[in-house]
Formats: sequence, C-alpha cells, structure tokens
Amino acid sequence: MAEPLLSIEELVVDYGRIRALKGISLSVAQGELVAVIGSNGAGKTTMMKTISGLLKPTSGRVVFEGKPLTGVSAHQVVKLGVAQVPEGRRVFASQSVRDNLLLGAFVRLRAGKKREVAEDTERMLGVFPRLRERLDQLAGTLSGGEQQMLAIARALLSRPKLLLLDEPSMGLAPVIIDEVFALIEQLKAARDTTLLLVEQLAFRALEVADRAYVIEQGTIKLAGSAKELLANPSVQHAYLGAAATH
Amino acid sequence: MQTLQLLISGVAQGMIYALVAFGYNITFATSKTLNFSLGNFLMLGGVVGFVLYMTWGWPFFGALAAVVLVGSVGGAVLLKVAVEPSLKQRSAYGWILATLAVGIVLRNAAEVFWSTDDFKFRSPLGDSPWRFFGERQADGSMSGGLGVYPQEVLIILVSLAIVAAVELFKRRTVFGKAVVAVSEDKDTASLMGINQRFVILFSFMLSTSIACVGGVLVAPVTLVSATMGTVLGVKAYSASIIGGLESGFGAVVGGLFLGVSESLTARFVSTGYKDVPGFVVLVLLLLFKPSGLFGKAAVRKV
Amino acid sequence: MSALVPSGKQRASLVGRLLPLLLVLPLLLPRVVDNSYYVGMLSRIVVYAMLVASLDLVVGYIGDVSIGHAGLFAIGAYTVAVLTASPALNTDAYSTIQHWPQLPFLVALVPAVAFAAFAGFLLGFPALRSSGPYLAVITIVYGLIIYTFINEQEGLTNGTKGITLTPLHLGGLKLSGINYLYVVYPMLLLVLFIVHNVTHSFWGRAFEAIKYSAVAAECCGISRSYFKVSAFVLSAALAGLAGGFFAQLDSYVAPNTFAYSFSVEFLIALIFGGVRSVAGNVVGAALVVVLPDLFSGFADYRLMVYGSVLLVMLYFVPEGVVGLVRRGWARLRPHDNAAEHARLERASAGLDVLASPHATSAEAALKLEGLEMKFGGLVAVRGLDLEVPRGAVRGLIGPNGSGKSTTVNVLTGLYTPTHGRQYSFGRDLAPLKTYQRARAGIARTFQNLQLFADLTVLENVMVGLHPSFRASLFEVAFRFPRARREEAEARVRAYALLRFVGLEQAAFDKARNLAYGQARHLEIARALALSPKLLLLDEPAAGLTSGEIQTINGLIVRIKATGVSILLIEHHMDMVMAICDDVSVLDFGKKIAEGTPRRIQEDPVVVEAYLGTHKTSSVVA
Repeated sequence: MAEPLLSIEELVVDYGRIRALKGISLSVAQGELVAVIGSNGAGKTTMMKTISGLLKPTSGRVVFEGKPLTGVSAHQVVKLGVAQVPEGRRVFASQSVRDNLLLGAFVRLRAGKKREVAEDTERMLGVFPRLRERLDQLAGTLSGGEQQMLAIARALLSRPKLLLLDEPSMGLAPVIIDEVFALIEQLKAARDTTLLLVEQLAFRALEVADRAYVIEQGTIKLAGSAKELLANPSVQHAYLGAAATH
Repeated sequence: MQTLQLLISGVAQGMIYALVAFGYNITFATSKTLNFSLGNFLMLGGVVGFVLYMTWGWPFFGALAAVVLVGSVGGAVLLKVAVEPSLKQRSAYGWILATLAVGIVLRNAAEVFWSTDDFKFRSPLGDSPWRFFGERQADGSMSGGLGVYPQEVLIILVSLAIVAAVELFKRRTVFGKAVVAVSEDKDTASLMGINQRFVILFSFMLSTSIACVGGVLVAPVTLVSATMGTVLGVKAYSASIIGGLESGFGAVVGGLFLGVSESLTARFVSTGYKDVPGFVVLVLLLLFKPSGLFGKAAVRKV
Repeated sequence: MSALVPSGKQRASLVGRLLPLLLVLPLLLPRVVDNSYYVGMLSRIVVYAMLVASLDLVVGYIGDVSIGHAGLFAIGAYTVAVLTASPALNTDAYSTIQHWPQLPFLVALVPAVAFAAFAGFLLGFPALRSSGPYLAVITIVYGLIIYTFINEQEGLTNGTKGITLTPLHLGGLKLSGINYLYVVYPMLLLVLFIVHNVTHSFWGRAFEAIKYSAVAAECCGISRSYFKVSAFVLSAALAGLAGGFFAQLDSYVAPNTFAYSFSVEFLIALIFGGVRSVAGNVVGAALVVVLPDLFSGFADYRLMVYGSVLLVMLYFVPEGVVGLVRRGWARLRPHDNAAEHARLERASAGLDVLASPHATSAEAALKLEGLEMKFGGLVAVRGLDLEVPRGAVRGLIGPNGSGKSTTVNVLTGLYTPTHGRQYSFGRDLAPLKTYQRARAGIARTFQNLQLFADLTVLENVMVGLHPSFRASLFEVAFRFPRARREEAEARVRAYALLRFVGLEQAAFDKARNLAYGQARHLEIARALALSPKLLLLDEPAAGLTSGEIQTINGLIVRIKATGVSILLIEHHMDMVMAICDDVSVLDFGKKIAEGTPRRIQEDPVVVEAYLGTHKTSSVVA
C-alpha cells in the first residue's frame, strides 16, 4: 500500500483558549479527492490553517510526502507543494486579476521559471475565460463566484502537488456553487493534483469526493467512502443533532 | 515674484514632509504600526551626512551612500529592538512607547556623541540661488528677479524620484507586488510563499533609509542639529494622515499642503504660528475622516 | 485591590497600621532637615506626582496613550501665573503683558482647573473617534498647539521671557520655598485620595471596561462617550491643578518647560512607576526629580537614560516598579483570599440573584417585524419576523453567514437596521442606544469572548452591575457612606451571581487566567448581573466539551426557571434541540423555517440549507 501523500496524526490544535482540534487523524492518497465535512465551528478551517503552517499545533503531526510539515513556516509550505484556496477566497482586492495570478506563482517566479509560469497562466485563462476578460480589473470588483475562480486559479499556478480547498461554497449563491463544484470535478478528473476539500455543504462535497471524514467539535466522528457516507443517516445527525424529543 | 519664491520653498519643504510621511506609510502598510522615531531618523541622516561630507570631507555621493546604509541598518535595529518585541507583548500600544523611546534615545545620542549646536551644511550644488527673470549685471551675473536655491530644486526632484521609484517598484516588480500583498493580507500572502517577516524587515529598512536621505536633502536648507527631526516628524504625521496612511500619492499631497501652508502662514501671518494650519487640518481630519483624503475607510466588524 | 486602602481584615496588617504615620512624615521634614534644596526636591516630587496621577487616568485606566499632557499642565500653570503675577516683579522693559488681574493664588486655581478641564473636554471628542496611534498623534499636536500659543501670544503670556510670580504669603508667613511643602503635600494627598477612590469604584471599572472591550462595556450599560470624555476631563482638571501648583514651585513659568519632551518624560515616569497605582505615580515622579540630581552632568544624558529605561521597563517590567514590588511581596507573603471568600459567602447566603423579572406588560419579550440589515450592497438580514414569547427559550440557528450574529448585534443596538421594527415587552427599541438597552433589561453574551481580561472575575461581574449604582461622582471621590455601601452590596451580589453559575471559587482570579469553559460561564454571570428580562446568548457553547455543554444546558434551564426570556444562537444542535421551546432557522439572512425542534430537524428545507442539495440519496426523516 502506497504511502499517503498527506497524513495527519493525532493533531491537537489550540486556538487561543479553545481546543479547536482534539486529536484528529486522517490521510489523503495521491490523486484522491478527500472531503472533510462538518458544521460550523467543528474545526475544519483550523485544520487547513495548521496544514498550511499558519497555526502551530499543540501536539500531533502533519506529514507530507513522508516528511514532517509541522513546524514548517507558512511561506515554506508552498515551496514544498501544498497550496491553499483559503476560506472566503481572500483575493488581493487592491491588486489586479493579473497580479493576483502572478502572486500565486510567486515561488516559481523567484526560482526563475518565468516562461513556464507564463505558459501555465495562458492555460489557466483558457480554463477560466471570465478571468481573461477581467485581467486588468481590480480583484475586489469581481463577483463572489469570479473571486472563487481567481483564488483557485491563483493556487493552481504554484503547480501544487496537494491543493487545499477551504469551504469553496461559502457565501456563494447555489447556481455559482454548481459552477465551482463542476470545476472541482474537472480538477479531479485531470488527476494532476491531489485535493483535500473542506466543506459545510455535506452532500455537495460527498458527491465529488472519493473518501470523506465527518468532523464534529474537533474530533472525527465518521469516516468512509463518499458513497457510504451519503447513505449514512448519522451524517445528518452530525449536523442537525440527534433526533429531538419535542 | 516673492510669492513664487515662497511657493517654491514651501514645495521643497513640503516634499521633505512627504518623504517622511511616505516612510510612515510604508511601515504602517506592512506592520500596522506608526514609527514614532522616524523624524529622528531624518536627523540621523542629516547628522551622519554632515559628519562625512562636511567634517571629514568625503565626496557627496559617498556620504549619501553611507547615509543610506546607516539608515537601513538603523531600520533593522529599530524593528528588532523596539517593534517586534512590543508586538509580541500583550499591551495593544506598547510599540507606540517603544518607537517613541528609540526616537528620544537617537536624539539625545546625537546631542551627546556629536553636538548640541546647529551647523550649516553646504549644498553640493552651491549655496547661492539661481536667478531667473532678473536684470543682467555688467559682470554677467544676474540680480533681482526670481531666486531659486539649487538645493530646493534638488529636494523636489530627488523626493519625487524616490516616491516614484518606490511606487513603480510596488506596481511593476514581483517583489513589490508581494509587499503590497503583505500590506493587504499577511496570512494569505504567506500562502503564496511570501515571507512576511522579511517583507516587514524590508519595509522598515526602506522607510528609515528614505527618512535619512530626507535629512541629507533638507540639511542645506535649514540647519543640521540634533533636534532637527523631532517637530518635523510630528508634522509629517499630519501629511501622512491628510493623505491617508496607506497612499504614496497621498503623502505627497499631504506634504505639499503642509509645506505650502507653512510658507505662506509664516510670511503673511507670523512665523510662530506657521505650524497651526497643518495641525488644525490634521485634527479636523481625524475627527471627520480618519482615513485621510485618499485612504480607504476601514470597515469595522464586531 | 490596592495596598493603600486596606479593607476589613487587612487593617490589622503592618502596612495598615503604619500608613497614617507614614503619611504624616513628610510634613515633619522641613522642621527636621534644614535644607531647602532637598525639601524643594520633595515639593517638586509632590507636584509632579499629581501630574503623573492625572496621566494615569487616561493611559492606565482608559488605555489611550497621551503625549500631550504638558499642554494641560501648562494651561494650569499659565492661568495661575497670568492671573496672580504683578507688574512689580515683571518690570523687564520688554514685558508686554497689558493687564494684571493680580488675583489671590487660591482664587486663580479655580479658572486654572476650569480651563484645563475644558481643554480636556475638547480632547475627549477626538478620543471618541480615534484610538491608538492616531489619538497619540492628536495629543502630540494638542500639546504643540498649546505650547505654540503660549510661546507666541506675548501680550498674554510674556512669551519666551516667562512670568515671575509673587511668592506666596499667608498673613506674615512665607509659604514659598521650604514651606511650600505644607501647601502642596496635603493637596497631593487629596488628589491621590480622589484618584484612588474614583478608580477603585464603578467609575474606574467603567474606564477599564471601555479599555478592554468597549462593545461589552456598552452592553453592560456603560456609555462609552460619557465615561471616556469624563476621564479626559477629570485627567485634564487634575493636570491643570498640578500645573497651578507648579507655577509657584519656582515662582516662575516659561514656555520651554512645557515642550513635547516634557510630555514624553512624564509618560515614561508613569510607566516606570507602574500604571494604575497611586504609589507608582509617586515613584515615577520621584524618578524624574531624583535621577538628574544623582548624577552631575546627567542633564545631558537625560533623554537617553529615560528612553532606555522605558525600553527596559516595557519588555522586562511592564507592570512598573510598584508592580514588581507587589509581585515580590506576594511571593514572600502569599495573599490568602480565604477570609474574603468566607465573608462573601456568609453575606450572600440566601440572596436571590434572579428574582423573577417583572415585565411591565404581557407582551412578547422580543418582537421583530420585517427587520432588514444592509451593509453597503450586502444584505445580511432581510424581512425577518421573529418573536420570543415571555419566559420562553427560542433557538436561532442557521449555517455560517446566515445573519444570526448580525441579528443579535442589531438587537443590542450595535447596528442600526435599514428597515423594520424591534420591540421588547411592547417598548420600541429603535430610539435606545446600546447602553440604554442594557439598562432596559436586555443582556447578551458574545460569540468571541469579550471579557475584561485583567480585571478579576468578581470585578467583571461587578461591571455588569454598573446600572445599579446610584452614587454621584462626588460621593464616590470622597468615599461618602452611600458610595461605600453600594460598593459593598455590589460585591456581595456579584459573588452570589458567581455562585449561581458555579464560579465563586475563582472570584479573585484574573479573568484572563480562566479556563475556556469557565470564561463562558463568566460572561453569562456578567449578563445576569443586569437583571435582564431578555437574555441573548450568542453561541455560549462554542468550543466547549460535551461535559461542559451539559453544564451550560443546566444553567440555561435554571435561568429560564426564574422567568427570564432567552434567545439562543447556537451551532450545537443537540443543545438547541434539548432546551429550546421553539427554533427559527435562518439562511442567507432570511427565515426559512420555524417550529419545534423535531419539526425543524425533519424539514427538508433546513436539511438542504445545512447539507446542500442532493442528487442521489434521499433525505432521512
């Protein structure tokens, strides 16, 4: 059995005084799309931030390609091949679409790969034609859906081995969410990048994922293939509570 | 004619304010702190430049290069000694006091290790004014008409060049864009692979070097002394806030407003009150539009 | 609490018994030490200590850095100088003052304090709008404007030449020089007495509450505008008073004393001595006076030393000299709170903290009609109709970003809705500001804890009791019986509230040291202190373990039993479903469902909102 690309072992993360993650373990194999679903406040974004190095765990490990990722500072994590599309998109609103994309490729540009980045950018704009239309516009003026596309394109320009998507549906209208998830399916089909998806909308995530984990109050409550979990009523209970008595 | 001369002097002085204000903006953008010692860095530049150029007779460009070096090192030291430790602490405004402390140490150190007197700094372009529109004399020189000090022209050109260069750097180079990204969203910038600590260090070194260069530029026009930076630093806040703490262009506008209003007030009202219009505008702005004329209003969320 | 004013049992302690003796000692000094130089130094320390204490109100309690107090000091000094000086001593041929009122010293002090207080009032407005560095810049500018005025307005102030005052006399006795100590020392004791009393009362707690969390302070019934401006006015008045006495210290004033570096020096003095301590204020003043004296030629290195002292203090001894001493003392003789615990236990036994709130009408505790909240182009809440019947617990749930917290913020007056009406017990809430709503009986807790971090747990709850205090500032300043009684009663009541939520053992711990679960309980206790008729709980269980959630459940049930109406926002569905009578569900700012917990759980619209749409499997009923 091949080594997982990413593996999280007994991760405990404190956020201020709150113990946001109480010892979670999961793994992502190369080429998979793994979803981590759970309701708000369950600890999903904390997990993503810890993988990317923005938060330091209290105990436990994050291992990527067999090497420890815990303790690596955030700007180094990208160099190792892990890129994140943050919660709320977080495009650089005061800079143009073009510059946002450029910044996504920052690490590669510093390494001198100008030509390859330019080629990749061209290709990316082919996948996201709306971005090409708005290339010189300020990113802050884009609609929510367009910003989401931009954030994904930006992350992909670093040619990551692992792409982390933090709640891509947040704040978007259902029609736009459809588009975003169609894109995620496309990425999965291309099998270039391994995907770890964190989502509140459980069903959407389970429909695109290979495997999934359900996280609740900082611990993993369920795990299995996406198909199994779709049919499992416990998923709904994790969100809406055990059956009420009145 | 005299008013024109006043205006030119006002513009020159204003560009110095603009440089320091620009320095405030640069570090505020990346670290969200206001460097209360920046005026004293201007003084540091003036004093070091004076010692090298006037006292030890170095060539001007050598002295200038050394001043830039001293400014950069000073900025790094300021960050490590004053700003970073106080940001780590619990108190919200410890860095105000810390940068304030560094400022007064700098000033007093200059008094103790250099001199408490005022000195004349010779302009590298000469101290006599260029004259235009005057009467040509028998010996070929001109008298009367419009007198413009070459140093003032130098100030205006060099300051504009510095602001333009930095702005271009921010907009055209990848690293410059990275700096802008850190100013906007540190964490997401890290996710792009940008080392935010290095960017902040860079911004401090750039900011203090600019202030130091400002000191060398303004020294021939005023006088070099250990206290030349203190009040200037305070007035430059006005320029910064008038222009909006995050805008380079705004710093220039703020500085020009300040310099020209000072010049005109000194002439037509009284020299003692020349600082007042700038202060009054500052207070009014902070009351009604704290983000300045060009800044972005912050959206406050609970 | 301070070691300066001991309470009950502590009176027997050594410091307590020595204190009256120590206080009188300085007055004997001129008789014992016939050295006008050292007595003069002591007088100087005394006057400066008044200034440092005034600065402490703004910097230590309100938490704003002020680098312009030299200006307020100057107003006091110059007002006294201009009003009392005579032309006889200012015969300098260049003297330009035209009019010499030559009022007595004590009379002149009144306008000195009044002008300074007014200047403080003017400074209060920028202080409401700005904070941190912006405000610091304003204070610098303020000081410089005053300095410029004094320097330039020669017709009024004699400009750079300064004004020589007539030395003080009382009958035939010369009060200046060595005897000036008899004048200023009692004044200092009075000033420190007032400052200590005010800062250790509900006023001081209000100041600090505003510093730690202005929003939470408002939600406890404290008007930020009123208290913040009051702090500046009080601080300025005291600084002006100090300035008035300063004028007679050398019987001479000149503008260059009151420059920017003077403000910086005193700020350093304050930090050095220790903020929020009158003893620290005196120590800080002593630093500024004694240090130059110890080292000849020190004057040259003065600012370098002060700057370095400040940096060292900031990093290694942020609590100042007095704070350091207290820490050391506490380690030698650890303070035992057991006696105080026991006393409060006895006093609060049987106290009913949540007497059934009498509603003035049978109306619903909360009624929202068509509420809309827009932020620029974003509609956070639209067309919301919501009702919380009297005595009920209503749950408000919804996915992230659905508008729940926005609704609570609108209800507490933090946002003004763009449309719609809000009523509580039949009363229209629209004209009420946040602190007024708190006083009207609407209390809340916060999703992100808003505790007053460095106040004790007991003091945090006492801030919640703020609206119950009736004593005036004057009564508080002079420790009138009513003020003392209210304070004592509040302590007992706060303790009883802590007991209600199970936190009484931690009463004297600092709020910042509480475990997370305890902190959540504290917020609830603080909210209950307002004797609310309507309690808004914003995610009270966020981040809690299941065991802790059970405890909170029990607590909410007990609160409900006393008749308080509750609106509960939560994500922990088990909790919501267990204790709520009815639940409303929001999504994208609109109400999409409402009903009993079971009905909500089974509603497909709700399921879709939370888990998303679904192509393959069916929703489990």
